Amino acid sequence: MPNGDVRIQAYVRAALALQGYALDEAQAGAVAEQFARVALIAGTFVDEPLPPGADPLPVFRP
Amino acid sequence: MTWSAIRIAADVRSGARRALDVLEEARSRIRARDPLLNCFRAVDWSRAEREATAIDTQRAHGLPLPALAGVPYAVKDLFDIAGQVNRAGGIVNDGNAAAPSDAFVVARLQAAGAVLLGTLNMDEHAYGFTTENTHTGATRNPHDPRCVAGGSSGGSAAAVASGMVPLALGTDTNGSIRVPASLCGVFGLKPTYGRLSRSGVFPFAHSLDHVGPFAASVDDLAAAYDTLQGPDGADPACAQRPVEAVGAAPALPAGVRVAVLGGWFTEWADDAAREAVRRVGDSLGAQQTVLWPLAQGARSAAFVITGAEGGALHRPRLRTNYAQFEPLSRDRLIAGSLIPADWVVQAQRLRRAAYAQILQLLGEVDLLLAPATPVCAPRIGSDDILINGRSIAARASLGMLTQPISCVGLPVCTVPVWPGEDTDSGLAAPGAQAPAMPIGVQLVAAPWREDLCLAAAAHLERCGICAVRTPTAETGSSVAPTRR
Repeated sequence: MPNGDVRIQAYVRAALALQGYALDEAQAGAVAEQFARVALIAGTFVDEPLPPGADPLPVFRP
Repeated sequence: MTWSAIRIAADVRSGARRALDVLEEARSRIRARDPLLNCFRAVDWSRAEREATAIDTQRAHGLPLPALAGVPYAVKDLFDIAGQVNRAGGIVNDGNAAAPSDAFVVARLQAAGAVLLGTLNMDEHAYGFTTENTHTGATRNPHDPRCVAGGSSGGSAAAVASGMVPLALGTDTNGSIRVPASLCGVFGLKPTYGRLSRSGVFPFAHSLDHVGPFAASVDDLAAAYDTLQGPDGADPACAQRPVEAVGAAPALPAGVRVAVLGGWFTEWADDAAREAVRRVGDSLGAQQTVLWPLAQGARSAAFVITGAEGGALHRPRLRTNYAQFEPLSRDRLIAGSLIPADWVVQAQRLRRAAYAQILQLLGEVDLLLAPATPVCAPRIGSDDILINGRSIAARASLGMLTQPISCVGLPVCTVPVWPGEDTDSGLAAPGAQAPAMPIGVQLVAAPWREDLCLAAAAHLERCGICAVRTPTAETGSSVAPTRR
């Protein structure tokens, strides 16, 4: 999901509105740039199949 | 020169020095060095004088003195100090209520006789790896003030490296103890997740936050760690375990099995980082290189979880006080607050899988070695760093080798190595164009085996492979450090 991807831009603006932010265009663009970086990293694992036993850990206890 | 906490405490106990005399020396060191390095946010001389006087009074009355009697220390600017506002490195917190009491670990140090000097500079809300704080200024690297100290606990590492204090506290969510320890050339301990209480510590990402000490020697680090331990029901993640003291000069068990982490940890390390690991591995008898296939996944999971937890934590005030937040991280925080839930859940599941995988490795070996940072300290203001010919964002990437390990909560001691120096002479390598700079190596063990990390660090210190060197950069010049 490269920076500037239209889906990222659309998602970020919709999510900003949903979350109650009131940013100007430049600020929203800066957030979209950061979100694109998160999406790039998340894209390496979000569709990775994991074993059923890999349950989420809200608070991690090794 | 750097300072020894153990020696100070011994001197105060024996009467060779008063705690107030030690405090006066600390004041002199801070006045001489901090204007250049910008480690301290605030110093509370009144409290320090009260604590030092109390120690001297105890001794005058013939009472036994505790382990760290008279030892000056300072804490990252996100530990609660009674009566003061916890700013967490940000002006947006200036209007917050003052802390009603000291953080749990600060209270532990006070009970051990240590003397709190004040608070240390950091990346705002601990979200950064360089301590380039727009509001409070950058903390400079004592070994080359043109370079960053690392972050987010940069003030803590630089204050120890420059000898302003022998001990400091920091926090580590993704590498914020290990990265500055690496870049400033000091020892840093990130204990097992849940080992040390975080009560009274400004949070960043609850499921990843750790606290830990910095020191200029392994004995000092172990002494601080032993003091900080103990169960605390007020921190829901704090393990209800008894103190498992390491003590002074921990010995490395015979037959300890050591391996180097390859793959991700080699691909994203430059020549200096790999050379540092080689030296440590040779000294510890590392026999093999092993792969942790989910290392990159653990790093990615940590990145997403941090963004989501940190973004959610700060979202209310990001909406109302955007302009007061750190420009270098506020957009990242907001982006974090927009992360879809399924990404976070998948990251937590991946975390479980990555943990299971590395535990299997730690069933085959006792210690894993990896660079703490991909490179030595970059210049202040650098947007990018170059790793093996690849240019990547500096502020987000200095922790790429620490993030996988904190994601799964393992204990790590970071030890300082000087790969630009000749091993035997301690001088800059012949033909070197730049001053020798330190870089850290992570000594990683199974959960709750901090003792093993510290024993390996002590071995390396005794062998001269790892050492904290006295910076000669007080005037801003950069000169190759010399062996202590």
